[in-house]
Amino acid sequence: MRVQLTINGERRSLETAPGETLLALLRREGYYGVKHGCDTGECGTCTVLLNGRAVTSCNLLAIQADGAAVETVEGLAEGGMLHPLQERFAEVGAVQCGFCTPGMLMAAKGLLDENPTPTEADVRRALSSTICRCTGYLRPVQAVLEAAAELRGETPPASPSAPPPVGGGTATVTKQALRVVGQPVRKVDATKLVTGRGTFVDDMEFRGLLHARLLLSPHAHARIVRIDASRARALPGVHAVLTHADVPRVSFTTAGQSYPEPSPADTRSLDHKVRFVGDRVAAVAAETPEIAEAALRLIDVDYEVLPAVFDPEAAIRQGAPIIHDETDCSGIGHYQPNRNIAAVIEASVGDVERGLAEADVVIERTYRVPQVQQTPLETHICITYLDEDRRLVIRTSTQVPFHIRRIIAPVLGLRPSQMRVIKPRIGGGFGVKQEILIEDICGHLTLRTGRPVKLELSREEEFAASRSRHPQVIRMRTGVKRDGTLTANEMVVIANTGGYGSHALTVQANTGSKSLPLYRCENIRFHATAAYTNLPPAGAFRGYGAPQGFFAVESQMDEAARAIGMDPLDFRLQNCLRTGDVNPLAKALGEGREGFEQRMESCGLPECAEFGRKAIGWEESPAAPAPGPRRRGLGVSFAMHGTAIAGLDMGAASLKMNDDGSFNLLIGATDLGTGSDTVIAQMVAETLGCEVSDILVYSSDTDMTPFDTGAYASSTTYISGGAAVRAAEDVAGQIRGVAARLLDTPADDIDLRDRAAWTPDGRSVTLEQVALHSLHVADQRQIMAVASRMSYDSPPPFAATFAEVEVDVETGQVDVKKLVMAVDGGRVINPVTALGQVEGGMIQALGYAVCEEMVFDSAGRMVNPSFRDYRIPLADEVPELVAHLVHTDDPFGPFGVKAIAEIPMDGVAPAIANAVRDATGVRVQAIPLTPERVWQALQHKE
Amino acid sequence: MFLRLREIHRPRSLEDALSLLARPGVKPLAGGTATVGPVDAETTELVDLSGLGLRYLEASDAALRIGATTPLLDLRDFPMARLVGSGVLVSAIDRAAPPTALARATLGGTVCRPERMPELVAVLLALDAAVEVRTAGDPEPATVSLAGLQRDRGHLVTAVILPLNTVRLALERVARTPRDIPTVAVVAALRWEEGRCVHARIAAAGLSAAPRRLAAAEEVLLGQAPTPERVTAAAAAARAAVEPPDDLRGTAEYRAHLAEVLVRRAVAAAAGLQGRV
Repeated sequence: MRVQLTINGERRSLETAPGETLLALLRREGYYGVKHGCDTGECGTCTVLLNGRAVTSCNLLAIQADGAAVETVEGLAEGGMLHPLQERFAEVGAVQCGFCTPGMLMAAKGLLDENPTPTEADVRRALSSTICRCTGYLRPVQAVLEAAAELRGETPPASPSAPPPVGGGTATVTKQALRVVGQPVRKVDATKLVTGRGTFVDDMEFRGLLHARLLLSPHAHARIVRIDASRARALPGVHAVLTHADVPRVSFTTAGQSYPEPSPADTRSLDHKVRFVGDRVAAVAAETPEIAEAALRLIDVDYEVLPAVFDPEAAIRQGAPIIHDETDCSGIGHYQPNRNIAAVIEASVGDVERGLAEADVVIERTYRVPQVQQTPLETHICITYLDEDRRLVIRTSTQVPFHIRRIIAPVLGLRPSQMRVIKPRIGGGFGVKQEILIEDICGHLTLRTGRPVKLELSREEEFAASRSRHPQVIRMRTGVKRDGTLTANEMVVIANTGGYGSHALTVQANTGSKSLPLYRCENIRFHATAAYTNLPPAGAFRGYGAPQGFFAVESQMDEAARAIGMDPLDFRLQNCLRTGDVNPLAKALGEGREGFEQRMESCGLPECAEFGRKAIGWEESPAAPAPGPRRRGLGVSFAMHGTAIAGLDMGAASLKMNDDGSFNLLIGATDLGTGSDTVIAQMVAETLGCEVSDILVYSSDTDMTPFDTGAYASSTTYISGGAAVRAAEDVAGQIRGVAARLLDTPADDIDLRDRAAWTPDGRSVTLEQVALHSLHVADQRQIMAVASRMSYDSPPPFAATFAEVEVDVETGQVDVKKLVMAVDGGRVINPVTALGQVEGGMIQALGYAVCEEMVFDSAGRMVNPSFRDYRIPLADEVPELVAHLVHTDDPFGPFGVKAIAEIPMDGVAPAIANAVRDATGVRVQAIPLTPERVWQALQHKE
Repeated sequence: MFLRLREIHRPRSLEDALSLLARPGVKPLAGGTATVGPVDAETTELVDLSGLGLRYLEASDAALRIGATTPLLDLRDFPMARLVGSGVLVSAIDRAAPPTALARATLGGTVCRPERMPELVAVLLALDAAVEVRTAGDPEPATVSLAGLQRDRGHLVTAVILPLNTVRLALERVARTPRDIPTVAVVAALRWEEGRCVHARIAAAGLSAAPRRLAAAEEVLLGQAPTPERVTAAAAAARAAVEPPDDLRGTAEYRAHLAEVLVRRAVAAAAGLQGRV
């Protein structure tokens, strides 16, 4: 059937199948700015305007739009000029990964077309149709309000370095002779992302592309006794069906970490046993997604259903069903698959029992933290194909392109040199794309068929069959003296790693190694056990164990302070680490091996605390409780994170100069939407005396760029940025050498600035002249350098988080009114992108604190694998946010940077729980703080 | 993703639509927000209801009449809608879904699939909404109360009628987030004459599989004066009568507790007794 559509003003008559969605039709016609993030209209990335109204196009049939005018993000810019909405989104930092940006822009366009003078509430309401996992909504709201003002012809919007008017957020950056570093430079990929031209994995055409789908296990624990794919293979349009009988059995870990991997090799591409509901059973490649989906239903599988275990404490008891009973799994860290133990970690200093005996008060409590999902708006997606040399190219949404190539080469029976992994723009990761989840299957299918194959997880699969944050039971014992001295701090963790042990050892190690050392104490003990169960596996998720640990430690510190009658903030300031202190656990808890001693060379916690104290009104005497059931409370928490994995993470950069004085910067670093391409370009431009626009950044392509461990462990700015700066310093030296000859001045006296090389007496040659001379005129050579960086130091960033809540003590409903977070991230390279990291992290952490939770039925099936039931805070559901950056000078990183990516995840949940304690007198020992959980705790109030 | 869909019909008359809908494997298509998207391996034909002339809003002195395929956003933006229940209807629509969904989800679809927007359906129940239904083979429409609507094959909802009664409406809810489907929401619509309750509609979402009225609480109030004791008794009656479900948004025990608290609060508000109960 045909539909008549006017798309961005152009009349089109298009053929469509009865069931085709408008989204599918638009993408088929090349409108790649319309994104696919779910199939239920709940994520909003596919938003377009239909006759002027914002609608989602994934749950709208093309035929329903017959005769309508459709506007997509591609139609926003006119005559090469960005629409004011696009301009403001790019300028104020409303774009991070950019995957939800087109949807937000169209929702905003629909609003402004109808209402040119929207209030902030109107804007939040309009943007509530799009889930953003990166920004925390503050900057998108700001962008829309500013664009509205501009469209009304009002005064030009405030400069981006000024505090955003919505909620606040300021950077304290000391004045220094830096021109590019420290500036709110626009993200290098901002323009393409706001115009919908940002090329994500799926935004390319491949002739002969096949569509893959996975058959997933309906059972939590079962053996496949028979699998017959003959009916599926016979379906016209099916090109391959793979079962465990069709692929080599090679054990590997999906965790995507450095060699040798600390996570157990306990996974096969396809196995004859399934270990959770959602485990892979078979894969199909077919000519259309519909045929592939239909083929799945034709695969006959006989399962021998085995007893399943979901509780980690039950799983490690005698007699529990053994999940990894195969002989070909292996691991380190006291790996005992015959006891369902994926890892055991232990570290201690002093003697905890002695410390507890010396205490005036001992606080002993058990905390529970939930399994939550990363939910990048772009699900896992991968396209594989054979290039003209018959090498396997893997174009994938990943945080670890180099690890993928090395780890799955043996799984596919290839050498790494027969593969190339390319990471284009990716729509968020937050750790779940450190996982090598689908690339092996997609590769198998391309090798089998010789055709390009696309495999994309549905939203439901992303929820229930990818990876998540480890849920834990955390037992704490803390001893404190009346004078506030901590005498003992003990944490015993039982973690649930699910059916596979991805990141089991290292996440759990991080739970102790980040949280416990934050407070000075002579007697510390940490013990963690990661248990296999038949739930979907956990893995890496921004924060990486630390949010779990800090919920327990920071709840515990609050109780300790209250027990001795001290102000919880003063108690923390009395006990927290200071500059010059040593992290007593860092050496014991390395990345699956011995670590390296860490001395704090900078600690901005006192400044962070001071900012938050004022911003939240800590000292203000609480108003007398109003009559009725609502109680107000304030809470605080501290946090410490790391910056890269000491002695392990390595990044490299290659930099070359072009004829016009521009530079190609090739980095292995993987920008997953955070802006690392931008901040690294800023550091290079600073070093070379040029502009960010002179740096052509190309990142994450195993054929083209040098190695990088990948985007995880808060490492990129510090490690990969450091490598790029080293290469830039080398190149700068070469430029000075050429300029020295041209200017007849010693090279050491030459200063690079304003795209030129300057002598002390004011003579100069431009970088272009230097390049032309060096490439063409005399002593010809390519000005270029490569460098890499690794660090034995992992300087910790610090944060203080404050929360204001109102609790309804009759219903347990917690209303978070305000969140304040001050972060010491060392020197900030770009205050806009850095604040964006903090604000977005605060809202992710708010979800962890109050509403996000994977819920399973008694058979181990996730019951809420949709955005409808797995609730993520929307633009009109978030509290007032204040993010603040505290500058410290740290000696280790380039320009003194420390990390900022993960620490915002750590402190929000305990700050809110502490505020609930303040409001109600009740300690809620489990998150999320749903109304029922708080009500239950209130019922047991002594 | 439809695996077996062969055809989409776009009938121009109700008769044609009804005869098409009587066939097996056939589904009605209104806004499509709940029908299109996820894998559907059953449906072979869809009947697009958009050509039936059922997108309209009509106001009379006594009632608001809304065509079944009217998007919720049209209702939300209809000036009269703001007056219904002192804005409770409009705010419930706003909470029920983001604007992108409200632009397409229809009022007819909302009453036919009450699990999608249960709080809004509870508001409609409290407002005494009536539903006009056409049945295959019957040329005359039947008007039934929303509470009595049968949602089986062979019928087609053609309109929803909201009486413009003078009632005091109050809504109380508990949810994981401000816009989540509520664990429990209670809507009380009361009318008082000469110090007596002459009309009581108390409806709730989250206390049963689909939203429904809490007759036990209504009975406690009818004919009585608005005293704190009466309000408390109505709340207790509600709690005693409910058998709530147990799901990810709350256990049965917690919901029973909320039934009492929220009925008490909603009734107190609709009786002008806030802060006194």
